[in-house]
Parts: sequence; structure tokens; C-alpha cells
Amino acid sequence: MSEVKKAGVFYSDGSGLAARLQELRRRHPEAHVTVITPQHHSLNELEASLADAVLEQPHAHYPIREPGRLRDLVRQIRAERFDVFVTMYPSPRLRLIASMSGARRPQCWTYESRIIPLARTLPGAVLAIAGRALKGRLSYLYWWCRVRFHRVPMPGEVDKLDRTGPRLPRR
Amino acid sequence: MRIAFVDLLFAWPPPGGAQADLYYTINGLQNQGHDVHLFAPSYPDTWRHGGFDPGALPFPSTSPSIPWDAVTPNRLAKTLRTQVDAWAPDVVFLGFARYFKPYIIEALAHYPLISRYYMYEHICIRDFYLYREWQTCPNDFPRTPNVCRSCAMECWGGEIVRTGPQTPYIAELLRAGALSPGYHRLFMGALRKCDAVIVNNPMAVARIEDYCPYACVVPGGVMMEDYAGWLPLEERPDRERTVILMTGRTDRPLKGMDVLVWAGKALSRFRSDFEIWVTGDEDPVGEPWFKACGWRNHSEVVELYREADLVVAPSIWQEPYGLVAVEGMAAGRPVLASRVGGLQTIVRHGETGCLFEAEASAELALYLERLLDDPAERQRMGRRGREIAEAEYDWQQIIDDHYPPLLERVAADGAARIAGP
Repeated sequence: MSEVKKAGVFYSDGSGLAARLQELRRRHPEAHVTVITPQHHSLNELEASLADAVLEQPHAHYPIREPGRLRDLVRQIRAERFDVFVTMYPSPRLRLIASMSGARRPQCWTYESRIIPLARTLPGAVLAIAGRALKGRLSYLYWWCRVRFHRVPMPGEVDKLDRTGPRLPRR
Repeated sequence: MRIAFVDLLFAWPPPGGAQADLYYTINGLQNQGHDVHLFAPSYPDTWRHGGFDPGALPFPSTSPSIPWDAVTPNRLAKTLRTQVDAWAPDVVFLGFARYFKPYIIEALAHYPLISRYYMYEHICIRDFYLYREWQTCPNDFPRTPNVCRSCAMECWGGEIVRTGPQTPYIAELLRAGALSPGYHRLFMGALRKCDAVIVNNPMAVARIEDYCPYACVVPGGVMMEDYAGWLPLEERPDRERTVILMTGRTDRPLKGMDVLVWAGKALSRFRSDFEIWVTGDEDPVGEPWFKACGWRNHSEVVELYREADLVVAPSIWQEPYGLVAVEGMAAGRPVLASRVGGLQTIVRHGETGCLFEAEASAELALYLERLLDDPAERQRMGRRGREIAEAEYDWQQIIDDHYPPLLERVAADGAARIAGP
């Protein structure tokens, strides 16, 4: 644990930043903690007290059609030379950013308190994203069929949801 | 009596009421002279439910470390069975285990069993909240399994596609096979093998009593010694602003922080003599009257109650119990709670606080205004709440009242069940 000198938390959206910072402080009391946050999100009192530095970004989103934004962000993150780089969600875009962060340990600390190690290289991240997408769709298809076509025999059971079965998600 | 406690989500300090409930139950039974042991796996790859330090607990415990990726219900059940068998208890008490509970019950069914349900895990397989389309769900998994499976699939389908499925909740749902028809069979069989099922409120008993041999309510409580340093409101130094406190998992929408925020906004239009403090880290208001205190551990929360003048529990779902209301009363503070689940049985309207309809922020604002204007009423309610907490909600008292007959019954019924017809 003590080898972590610099930790970065990439705040993109949502709640729970302070909880993650508190836990990061607990695990790595010696680490210098930097929060990377969009300009419009001003840290509240508690969050600010837990961060040693704040790296404000002019943008909250990094669309593919504007690669310049992402390039600037990655350049700044890499310059910090983080040992641990934490994202709030395991979304494809955050996985890509984490893989390019140059950190020794890119991780996602999910809302459900799981720590997911993320890929350290861009090809690794792309593979992980594709694998997740495929696994998610296959799992969904399998379980949707199980629920829709493989019923528990319960003769008296009547309900709106029961008659229709699960609906496919809207695109 | 040797009692083994098994819990898959135990962590200390507690991230929620369920863990605190189990901790004090074990502690109380140990104080009664029982030989107790906690078996609770820890998961090294989690950041909030990161387990506990066995040396810091006042009772013996075993904590097998299992990486979350390697967790399967059968592996957990096998590991726990081996450890529990080695300890040879007279009774097994199962705490929080969510979707894996039927597997654990099957693995330990050769002991007299007590199964404790902290939410509505025994009724609702979607998210255990029993709350659908802004109202209490009329369905329950034992009676309407296909409805509940469809409901869970609709709710989590998008998440399964998006995460692939990686978040622990979804992974647990799928690893347990909770959407398969076989799970219903397992679930019902497991319920029948429990010699006693403990839940938090009478509605939960009514929904389950036909499917298990015996179901009962055991309320939660507080350790009154934690609140020994309580400060009556009248003895507290005067402050410029009255502090309204909301504790617990305020980041969960069903806990109703929005209702309190709306009430605060309504009040802030014509008065500035109050502050709202919450134990979350999100500040949805950005006004000086709102303060996000961040997640606090147990002793820090007790300190917060000392600082507060009023406690609010605005849950919008059928809160199974509502420990924060008891904590507020133990700290000698009036409690304003929504008229739901266990909260309405704890708070006595007009005596220890006020009850308002769930989501009725205007009604809450009205009660807040009344109590903000009337310090004497706050003091009276706070003092009465403290008296009731001392008389009815002290943990040791609850354990002494409920558990000796329950344990006797379970030991006898369990022995008969295991011996067979």
C-alpha cells in the first residue's frame, strides 16, 4: 500500500466522490490525491478537504469527433504520473481514458463498492470493452429467453407483467 | 448454547443498519452467556464493504477472504459449511446473504436455522425494496414468481447489457440464477427449512408466514450506552440556527432526501434560522442552509445527533425498520418520519415527533416550521423519545425479551425437523 505516492480520481459525473476519496485516504494515507474534475463541478467542502489538488478541466465530455479534447486531457493526466488512477464508472470511455493515463494501477471504484482493475494499454482496453459488450448482450439474451419461455408452473398467477413477459429494452 | 452467525455482507464499521443489527444481536447473545461465533467472508476487491478486522470485534469471528470474481453461491456455501461444521454449533443464525441465501440455507440445513431478513429479500427478488411504480408492490416472489422474474428482468436488463454483467448486484443475481425457474424451487425449499424467519415489521410477516414454519418480528434497537452522553435540548447552548439532521444512506433515492430538500427550499423562502445536515456527500442545493457532512462512522453519527435539534427520516418506500428514528430518539431529539413501514411503528405522532405522508414535502415543511417556532415542544418530544428509547429500544433489552424463547423453540423444532418424520 505504501508504494502509492500519487493517486488521481477522475470525477466525471454522479455522487460518491467524497466516499471514494475517504477510502483512498484510508488505504493510502501518504498518497498525494488529485481530483480531475470538469470546471462546472465545484467540489463541496468535504470533497475539497479530502483532495490535495484539483485539476480542473474545461470540458465534461470527450466525444470521439473532438479528439483534441481527449488529447489535452490525457496529456495532463500523464504529466501527473499517477500510481493509482481511479474512475467512478467502468464505462467504455472511462476505460479508454484510464488505459491512457499511464498509471501503474488504473482502477474503477464502482458505486456498489467493487474495485475493478482496468487495462493499462489501449489495445487491452479496447479488447475489454468489446468483451464486456459481447458478454452483456449474450447474458441478456440468455436470461431474457429463460424468463420469457421457461416459466415456473403457477396456475393462479395473473398480472399485467406476467401476461406480456419481459419487454426488450427500447433502443 | 453455541450459536453460529453467518453473514455474507458483514462489515464493521457498518455501512448500513443490517450490519449494525447483526453486530448488536451477536453481542447481546454473548452477554446472555451463549457461545457465539461469526462467519463472514470478506472480499478484498471491494472498497466500501471491505470486511472487518476480526481483532476489533468483541466476539470471535472467522473471515475467509474470497475475491469477488471467484464468488459463486456453491463455493461460498461449501466454504461456510466446512467452517461452521468444524465449529459444531447448536443453532445457526443467517444474516444478510441476498440472492445467495437459499444456497447457504441448503448447505446448513442440518442445523436448527434462524433466517433474518433485513429488507424484503424473502418477497422481492428485483431489488428487495418491494416498491414498484411509486407504490408498495402487491406481488411477492413465493406467490407470483413469474411476475417477479419478469419485473427483475425488465429492471436490470439494460444494466446487464451495459456492464456485461459486472456490477456486484447484477453479477450476484445472475450467479445465483435467481431468474431461472429452478431458483424458485430452491427458494421455497429453503424457506421451509428455516425453523424461524425473523423480519422487521408485521407486513413482512403477513407476506411470508404461509411459506415457512414460523415467522416473527424482532425489532432493532440501539446501544443506550453509546448515547450515555446525550445532551437534552434544553441544556444545549443556544445556537443561531436550528439544525435539522438526516442520517443514513442519503444517497439512495428511496431514503427520500429530495423530500427534505423540497421542504427546506419551501422554508428557506421566508426564514433563515435553520440548517439541514445530511450524512451524504452530495449537495443538490448549493445554498448555505444545506450541509453535506459526508459518510460518518457510528461514533461520529452519535456526535451529529448531539449537534442536531431535529431528526428527519423521510423514506418514501416501506422502510422495513427505520433505525435512524430509534437513534434520534435515543439521542433525545424529536423525530419527523414518513408514515411508512417500521418508521410509523417507532415514532409516536405528537408525542416523540411527527408522522407525515411519504413524499409529502409540504406536510413535512409544515411540521418543521411548527417545531422550529416552538423550542419547548422540541424539548418535550425529545425527552419523551429518550424515555421510550430507554424503555423499549435498548439492544440488550430486546435480546433479553425476544431471543431466549425463540432459541428454545428453534432448537426443539430444528431437532425434530432434522430427525425427520
